[in-house]
Amino acid sequence: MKTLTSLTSALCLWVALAWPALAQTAAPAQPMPSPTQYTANGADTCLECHDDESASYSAQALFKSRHAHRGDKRTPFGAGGLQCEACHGPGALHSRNKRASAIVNFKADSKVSLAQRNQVCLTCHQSGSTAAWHAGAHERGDVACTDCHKVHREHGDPMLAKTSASQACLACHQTQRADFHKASTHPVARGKMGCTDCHTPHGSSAPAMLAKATLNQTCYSCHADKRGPVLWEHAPVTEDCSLCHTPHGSVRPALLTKSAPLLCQQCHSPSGHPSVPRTSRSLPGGPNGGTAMLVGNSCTNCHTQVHGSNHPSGAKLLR
Amino acid sequence: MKTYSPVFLLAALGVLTGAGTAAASPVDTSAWTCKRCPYPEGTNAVVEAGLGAVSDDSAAFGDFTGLQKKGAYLVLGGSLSHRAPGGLWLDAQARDLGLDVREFGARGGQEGRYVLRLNYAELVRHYGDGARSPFLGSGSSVLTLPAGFPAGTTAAMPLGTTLQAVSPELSVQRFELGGSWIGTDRLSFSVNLRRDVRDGSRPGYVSYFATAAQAALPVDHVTDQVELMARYDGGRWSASVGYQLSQFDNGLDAIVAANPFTPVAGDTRARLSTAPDNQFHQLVASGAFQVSPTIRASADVAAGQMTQDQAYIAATINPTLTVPALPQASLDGRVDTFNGSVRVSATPMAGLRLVASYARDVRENRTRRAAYPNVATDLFLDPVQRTNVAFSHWQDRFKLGADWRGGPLGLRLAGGVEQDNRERSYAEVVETRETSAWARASLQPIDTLSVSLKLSGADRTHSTYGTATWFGAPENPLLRKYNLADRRRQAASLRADFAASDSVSIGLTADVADDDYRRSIVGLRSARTDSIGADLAVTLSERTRLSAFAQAERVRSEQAGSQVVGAPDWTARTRDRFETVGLSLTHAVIPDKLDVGADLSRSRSSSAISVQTGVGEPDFPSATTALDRLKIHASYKLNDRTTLIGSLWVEEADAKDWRLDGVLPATVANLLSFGQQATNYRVGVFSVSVRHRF
Repeated sequence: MKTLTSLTSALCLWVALAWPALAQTAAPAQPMPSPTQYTANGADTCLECHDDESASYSAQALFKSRHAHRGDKRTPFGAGGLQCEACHGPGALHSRNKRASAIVNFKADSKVSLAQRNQVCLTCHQSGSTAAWHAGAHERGDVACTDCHKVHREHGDPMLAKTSASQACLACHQTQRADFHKASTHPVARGKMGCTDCHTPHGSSAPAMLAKATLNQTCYSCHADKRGPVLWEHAPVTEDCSLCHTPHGSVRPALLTKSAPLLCQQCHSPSGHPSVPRTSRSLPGGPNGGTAMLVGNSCTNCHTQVHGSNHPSGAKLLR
Repeated sequence: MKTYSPVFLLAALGVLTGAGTAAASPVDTSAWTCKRCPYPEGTNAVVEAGLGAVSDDSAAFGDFTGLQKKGAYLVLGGSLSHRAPGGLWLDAQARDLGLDVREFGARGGQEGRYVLRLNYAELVRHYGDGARSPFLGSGSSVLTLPAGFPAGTTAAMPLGTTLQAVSPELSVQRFELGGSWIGTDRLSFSVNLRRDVRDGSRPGYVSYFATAAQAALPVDHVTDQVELMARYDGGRWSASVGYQLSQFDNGLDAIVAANPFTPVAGDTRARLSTAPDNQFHQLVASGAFQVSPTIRASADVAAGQMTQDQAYIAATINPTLTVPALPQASLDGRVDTFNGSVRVSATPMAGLRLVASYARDVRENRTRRAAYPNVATDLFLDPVQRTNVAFSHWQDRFKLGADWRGGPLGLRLAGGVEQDNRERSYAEVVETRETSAWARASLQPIDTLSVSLKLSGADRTHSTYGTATWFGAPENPLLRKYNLADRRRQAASLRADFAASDSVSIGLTADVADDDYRRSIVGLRSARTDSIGADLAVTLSERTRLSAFAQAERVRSEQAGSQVVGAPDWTARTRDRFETVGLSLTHAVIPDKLDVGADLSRSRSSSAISVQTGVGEPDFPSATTALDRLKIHASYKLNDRTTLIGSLWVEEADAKDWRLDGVLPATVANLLSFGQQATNYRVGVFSVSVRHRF
C-alpha cells in the first residue's frame, strides 16, 4: 500500500510537471528561427573544398554508404534530397565565409546542442530499431548519435562491424570492458561476438536495453537448448539466467557468479548432503580426502541436468 | 560572428527539423547534379593473403581463436564492392578464411528497392588441454568401457592402461539469410532466416548414484530462426508487426554411458536425457507516436508460445527394474509468454525532460502436471512418484524519471523511481515487490572538467515466505532464497572526466554496490562490489597516440548454512579480486607509409573462500588467474594499392584452481575425472600478409 501511495504521488507529480506540455499539442519546446539560404549547387558546392581524405574524415566514404544511395529517395542523395545539407543544414553562408560555426557540425566541440544534433539524425531514423530511443538510457545519458556512428570514416561506420562496434561501447562501459578480460567470458574480446548481439543501444523495453523482451529470451536466441519447457524445470533457470551466471565475465568457469557448492547452497539447505559445509579439509590430500561433492563441477558432477531435464526420472536433475 | 553563429545554427536546425524527410525539400534541388560526387563505380576488391605461425599447441588458446595447433596457417580475407548502373550494389567481406573461425558476409540489392543479406560464420570451442578418459566412443551417444571395468573405486580401475587423450571440441556454424523490400517511401518488409548448427562434443558428467564420471558428451543441435516483419513509417507515427519462430532440434534423444564403478543392482549403464526439441512462436508489434512536438510515446507488445512434445525415453535403462507406466508418452509442454511495454517522454519546458514507462512480462507455464515413477540414477525405483512443477512468472515494472539542466556550472540533475513487482507460482513466496529510487547530479565547473555522482537505493520485500515442496526433503525454514528474499540495495557511482590539455584527457570512475539480505538467517546474507577505474588518452604528437586504462574490482559475499535444518552452524565468505590494466599505442613512423601499433593488457584475479564451522577450518587455496596479452602490428604501404602487414601476438595464461589442480582421474575415489588441470599456456602467433586493392 505504501508503495502504491508513493507511485501514485510520483505519477501525480509527473503529470503536474508534464501538464503544460500535455495541454499544448503543437507548440515546440523553443521557437526555431527562419530558415537560411541553401547553396546554389548542393554537394558540388561542398566538394569544391571538402576533398580532403584522412582516416577520421573522408568525403568519399559517405558515397560508399547507404546515405548516398541515389536510387533511394529516402536518403539525402536520393531524388530531391538536400545532399550534404540534409544533415549539415543550409550551407550558403558557410560556403562564403568558410567558418565551421556557420554550418551544423557533429563534432564533440560543436556549438550545436547535443539534442539538436541528434534530432537531425532522428528526423529520418525514428522508427524500427530507433523507435524507443526517446526513452532509452543513452538518450537520457546524453549520448550523441555521432559518439558511436561515423559516416565520414574511411573504413565505414564502425557500428556496422562487430569488433569496432564493441570497442565503441566499451570506451564508455569500462566495467564491462574489464569483464571481458576475465578468465570466463563471451567471446567479445576475440571479436566473435558483439555487444549488439545481446543489446540494442537505441533503446528497448527490456532491462539493460536487451535485444529481446527479457533476459532469458535474449539468452535463448543462442542457447535455445535451455529454453524448454521441460518436464522437470529448475525454477531459477526459467526465471532469470543471471541468478547463477554473469553475462560479461567471471573469474570462475561458465560465467558463474559463485563457485559451487556455495552457489547452490544459497538456495538449497534441506537435510542431507546439500546442507553439509564443504571445507578445504575435503580437498584431495586434506584430512577428509577428496570428495566428488566439492571438486570438479561439485554439485553438478551428479546433478548434471541443472538447466532442467525431460527424462521421466529426472526430477532431481540427475538424468 | 560569435553572436551570430548560434542564431544561424538554430536557423539551420529549424530548417532541418521543418524539412523532415528529403521528400519535403524546402528548396528546388533539380539543378543539383552532383557532378563532383565521387560515387563509386564498377568493382573494387581488396584481398589480404599471407602466412601465420602458431608457436605451441593449446586448446585453451584455440578456444574461439581457431589457433589451437602449432604450425603454419593461412591468412586469407578481403572485401569486394560492386556498383552497377541502375543502382545495383554489392558489398562483401571475408576474414579468417584459413581458420575454423572463418566469417563471410555479403549485402547487396538495388537502391531504393530491396536489400539482400547473407552471412556465414564458424566458431570452434575447445575445452582445455590434458583431458584423459577410459571411455570408448568419446563424443558419441554410446560410451563403453574397455576390459577391466567396472571397479569399486577409481584407484582400483585399470586406468594406467586404459586412459586415452580426449579433446572435447564443438563446432558452431551460423548461416544467415535475409532481405528487406522497400514497398513505398513509408512501407517496408523484411525476412530474416538464421540457422545455428552445433556439432561435436563437450565435457560433461554422468552420475551413478554415489559416484560420477566425466566424459566427452556428444552435441548435435540445430536451431532455426525465422523473422517476418512489416514496418510503416508515417512520419509522425510508425509501426511494425511481425512473426518470429525459433525451432530447436536435437539430433540425440539420449546418451548412454557404461558405469565404470561396480554396479549396485543392475545399474551397469546410465542413460541421460538430452535437451528436447522445442519451438517458440511469437507475434510482435511495436509503434511510436509523436503526440506533440514535446511528447513522444512508443509501445511494444509480443505474445508467444513455447512448446515441447518430444517422446519420452524410458524411465530407466536398468533391465532388472519393473517400472509403472508413464502417465503420458510425451510432455506436450506449453508455455505462453506475453511482453508488453509503453514509454512516454516529454519536455514540458526547456531543460526538463520526463520519462515514464511500464512493462509487463509473463511466462505462464500451462503444461499438464502429472505424477511420474522415478528411478534414481537407473538404480532403484523411488517409492514415491514425483509430480512435475510448471513454474510461471509475472513481472510488472513501472518507471518514472526526470532530468533537468540549466543550473549554474553546467548543473544537471536527474532522478527517478522504479517499482518491480513479481509473482511466481509454486515458489516459497507468491510475490516480491521492489521499490527503488535514484538520483544523479552532474556538474561541469570548467570547460575541461565534468563530474557526476549517482546514488541509488532499493528495497525488496516479499509476501509470506512459505514452503515449496517440489520434491525431496523440505528446505530449512530459516532459508531465504536470494532471488526471493528481502533485500536492501544501495549503490553509488562517481565519474570524473578531465581534459588536462588539448592532447591529454583523463577519466576516473568509482562504483560501490551493497546488498543486504537483512532478514535471511540461512542463505546469502550480504554481497558487496567495489570497483575503481581510470582511463588516459594522450595525443603525443600528430603521429603518435597513446591510451591506457586500469580497472580494479572487489566482490565480497557472505552466506550461512545449517546442517541441522535449523539455526546456522556454518558460514562462508567469498572474496573475489580482479585487476586489469591495458595500454595501446599507435605511431605513424612514416606518415601515410609505415604505421605501427601495440596493445598490451595484463589481468589478474583471485578468489578466496573461507568456510567456517566453528573449529578453525583452514581457508581454501586461493583460485587465481593471470592473463597477459601483447599484440604488435605494423603496416607498410608499398604503393597506392599494396600494403605489407605484419603482426605478433603473444598470450600467456596461468591459473590455479582447487577444483581441478591435483584432481587426477584416480584421485577421488568416487569421481572419475578427466584429470584436467587449471589453464596454463604461453602461445605466440606471428603473421605476415599482403593486402592488395584491385
